[in-house]
Amino acid sequence: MKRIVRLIFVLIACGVFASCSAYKPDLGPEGPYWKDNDTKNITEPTKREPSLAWEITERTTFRQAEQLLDLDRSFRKIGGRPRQAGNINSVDEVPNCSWYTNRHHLLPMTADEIRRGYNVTGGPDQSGPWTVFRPKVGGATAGFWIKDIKGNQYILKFDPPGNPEMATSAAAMAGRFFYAAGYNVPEETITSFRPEELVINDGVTYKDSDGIKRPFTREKLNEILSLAYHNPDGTVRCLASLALPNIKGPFSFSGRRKDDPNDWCRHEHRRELRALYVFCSFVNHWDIKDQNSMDTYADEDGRRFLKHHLLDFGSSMGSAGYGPQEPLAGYTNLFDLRDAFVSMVTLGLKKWQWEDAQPYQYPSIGYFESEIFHPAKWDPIYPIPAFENMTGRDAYWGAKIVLSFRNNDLRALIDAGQLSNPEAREYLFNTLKVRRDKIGRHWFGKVNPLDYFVLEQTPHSLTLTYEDLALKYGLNSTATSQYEVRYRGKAVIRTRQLVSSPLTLSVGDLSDLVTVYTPGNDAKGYLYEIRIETQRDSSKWSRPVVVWLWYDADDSHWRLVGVEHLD
Amino acid sequence: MVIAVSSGLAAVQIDTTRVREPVAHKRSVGQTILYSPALIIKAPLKLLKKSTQAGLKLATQEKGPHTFLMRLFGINRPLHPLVSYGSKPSLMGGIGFRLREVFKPGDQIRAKAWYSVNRYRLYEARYQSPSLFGANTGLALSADYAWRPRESFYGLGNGSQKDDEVSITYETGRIESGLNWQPSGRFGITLTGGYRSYNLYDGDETTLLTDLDVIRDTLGLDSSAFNPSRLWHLGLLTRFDQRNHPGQPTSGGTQDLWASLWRGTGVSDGLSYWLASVDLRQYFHLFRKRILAVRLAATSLKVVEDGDLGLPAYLLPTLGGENDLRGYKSNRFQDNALAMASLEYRFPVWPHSDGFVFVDEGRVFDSFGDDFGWREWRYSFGFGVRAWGAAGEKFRLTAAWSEEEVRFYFNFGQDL
Repeated sequence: MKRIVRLIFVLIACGVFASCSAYKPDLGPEGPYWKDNDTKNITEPTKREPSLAWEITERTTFRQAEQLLDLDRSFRKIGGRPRQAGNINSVDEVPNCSWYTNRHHLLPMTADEIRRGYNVTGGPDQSGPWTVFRPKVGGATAGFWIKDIKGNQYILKFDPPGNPEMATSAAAMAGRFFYAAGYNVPEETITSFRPEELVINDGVTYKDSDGIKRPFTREKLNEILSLAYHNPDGTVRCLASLALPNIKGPFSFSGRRKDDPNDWCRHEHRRELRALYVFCSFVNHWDIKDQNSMDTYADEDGRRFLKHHLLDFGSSMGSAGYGPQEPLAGYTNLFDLRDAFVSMVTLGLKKWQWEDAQPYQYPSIGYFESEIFHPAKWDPIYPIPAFENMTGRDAYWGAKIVLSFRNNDLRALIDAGQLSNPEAREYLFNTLKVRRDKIGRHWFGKVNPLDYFVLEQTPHSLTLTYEDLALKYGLNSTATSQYEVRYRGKAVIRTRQLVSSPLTLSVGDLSDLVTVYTPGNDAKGYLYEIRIETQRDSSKWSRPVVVWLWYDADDSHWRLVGVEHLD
Repeated sequence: MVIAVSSGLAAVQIDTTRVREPVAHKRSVGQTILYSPALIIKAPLKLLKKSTQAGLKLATQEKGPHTFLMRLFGINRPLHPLVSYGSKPSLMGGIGFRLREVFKPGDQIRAKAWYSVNRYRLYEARYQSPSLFGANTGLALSADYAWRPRESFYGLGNGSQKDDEVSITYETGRIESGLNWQPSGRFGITLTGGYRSYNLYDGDETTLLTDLDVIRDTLGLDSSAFNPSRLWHLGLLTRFDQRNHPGQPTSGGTQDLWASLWRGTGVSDGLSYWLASVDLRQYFHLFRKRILAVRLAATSLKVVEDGDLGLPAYLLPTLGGENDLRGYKSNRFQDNALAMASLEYRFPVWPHSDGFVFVDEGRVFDSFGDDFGWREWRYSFGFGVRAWGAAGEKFRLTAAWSEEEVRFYFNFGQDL
């Protein structure tokens, strides 16, 4: 018995020890890295073909149990020290890599750039016939592949008959949003065609529901098109998605791809995949899953490597692709064991908020609302490991990118959807705006939303400028905000109350600063830590933002080398 | 490249000329110490996970043992494996075959062969067309053979005792047909007809009485109780379907009436009887897709002529099992007539899935006219989950209680 008690004690001690091993930013005099070297030449990987049925089963059941039994994760959770993302740089951002490119929030895009999105070909060439060469296999929506006269290949997807413009506009808008947020996406263009002008390639076949190969005839093509909305002039509006080259199967939201030596960080610990939760919640991309992603064997600057894409945004906002979204989409997993258990135990008497959903107003939008939306209670179609590992810092990072889409940017996104009803456009704008601000209010409340720090040095002082994002985006406009700055002095911890940015440190202050790191006897540099907390009205002080400064003794130069938003 | 970025008040510099050489995360000391016991704790789960993954892969992949069999028999058609479990047959395995659009759009041929650990054998072939003779006139043909060596029998009447359970082997062969006319989407008439053959032998369940002669004496049955029989039948089934959805009806209901004449031939020559049943189901929407399903059903058998050997007991209507009194075993009660009522409250738990609680009541009678009453009705209650689709119920898992036992049912619907 004593042995068991000792073992339990050792395990708890280890757990506490492990959970206390906090994240340490990679700090150096050069400042943050903004690019990861994960685009090195690799040998061509094989194509992954994971099973959707297994993925749903695994994520819904086995992984939930495994996570409970993961002692390191569980102890960290109990200790309030969850594992931080593994691929962030020293200023709490994601460096450019094969997964992600910093775009709108750091390099603001114009409304026209947002509207245009990722655009290489400008859509299928209308000057010649489109040749159907393959019906779409898999997925809930009908479609087929075409080749235009330039030889570019596109998959065409349509609007359901009862919801004109809905699926195509949702996919176009969400695709542009994810691109501007920094993800790799395929080119997607809204266009239209006359069905009678389509040409079917010789020898095209499809497999029926019994798996029997049958010729793809004009009748079958018409059958697919009968599931699509036809414009009054007989044309069919569609979303043409440019085929990604050299596809190697979807990526997984957990683990690493074994045949990709560049894949160095487990996917559930990638910041951009964790924070994807926030982006998906914003546009209600409920159908986010491994199968709606794709790795391609890219060829750029003479290097061949795996590039990671998100795709298929037809189940975003109020659209489910094949029809309007179910009201529950985004509010629960498809097979949510916890909710099902509660329903069973209460014999269905527990009322879920989405059950009071009003019928949708605009067929071109479907069911997309902002009233009952809660930024932290949004759920994807089934559990995503990266989302389950998201920390407050990851969510804050995602939220600040969502908030970087200002009203004009939202209108640009909506323009890309080519919705013909002005009232529907206005409804969509207001819905997105409210969801955006809810996201900001919620996640900015989890960490101290001071960001975009800049250090300026004069002979007699240092000026640290920062932005309070909650104020910048008008989320706490009525509250009075004050900031407390703490830095380690020689004798005591010095504090300074500020009512706004910037913080100016005099020579006296600087001489009082104590290094928190000195790199040896022949050192030429010193690291300093400044902590800033924020208080709104008379609520309690926030967790601090830690700013790391490097002093180079050789040239008496100060540099800002790190920022950490503690959650 | 160094980009100076202005973002509102502040400016951020993105220097992509300096490249970080990624280094994979290494476990800390604490993590390493925790990792080993976690690995041991998770081992059984990993094993279960791997085996489930392998099973699922086998069931869903296009290439597998079933495709090997298809090639072996030169059949380039979709064969699929079948697995089932029942308390009497135990574990059952088999192979199924389905072919669609054979003569007309919407028609299909299905065949199944099952074998079980307890030597049950079932062979079944079926052809179904909703519109073989025109848009509203369909045909269903089926033939099956079954060898069921461990079936239970409890004697006749509502007072039959659970402890009187005996084991009998049934050998049945059936050829059935149904010509369906659907003048409207809600109303249909089906002309049913067919031939059935029954042979009974000593049972296989060694813990129970298995000798037919001993059983007959013990339970005080007529000498005709276990005679073989050969029967033709002809009947008419009418169905009025007002449900608003076949999978998850929230209003409306179904009314089924069936009457058929059965006549013996060969060893059953001279036997003749009427069998009539009524099955009424109604659905009420309470609130937010919470539904109350009500069912009333009755069946009665009326002998016209006994023939040379009389009416065998096993041909009488039965009560018990998954479709009526769910807390009792199949065929638990048997007599000339039966009546039952059921209340089922359904509530959504997942999309296209409901939870339900129910209570069933029912009993058998020698004759509705002579001994119908409100006493000695048997009841059972329970709960479960069901999944439904556009065409009907797809799956049902039920746990049911009665004064005698607890029963569990696991059933995939017809359209899977």
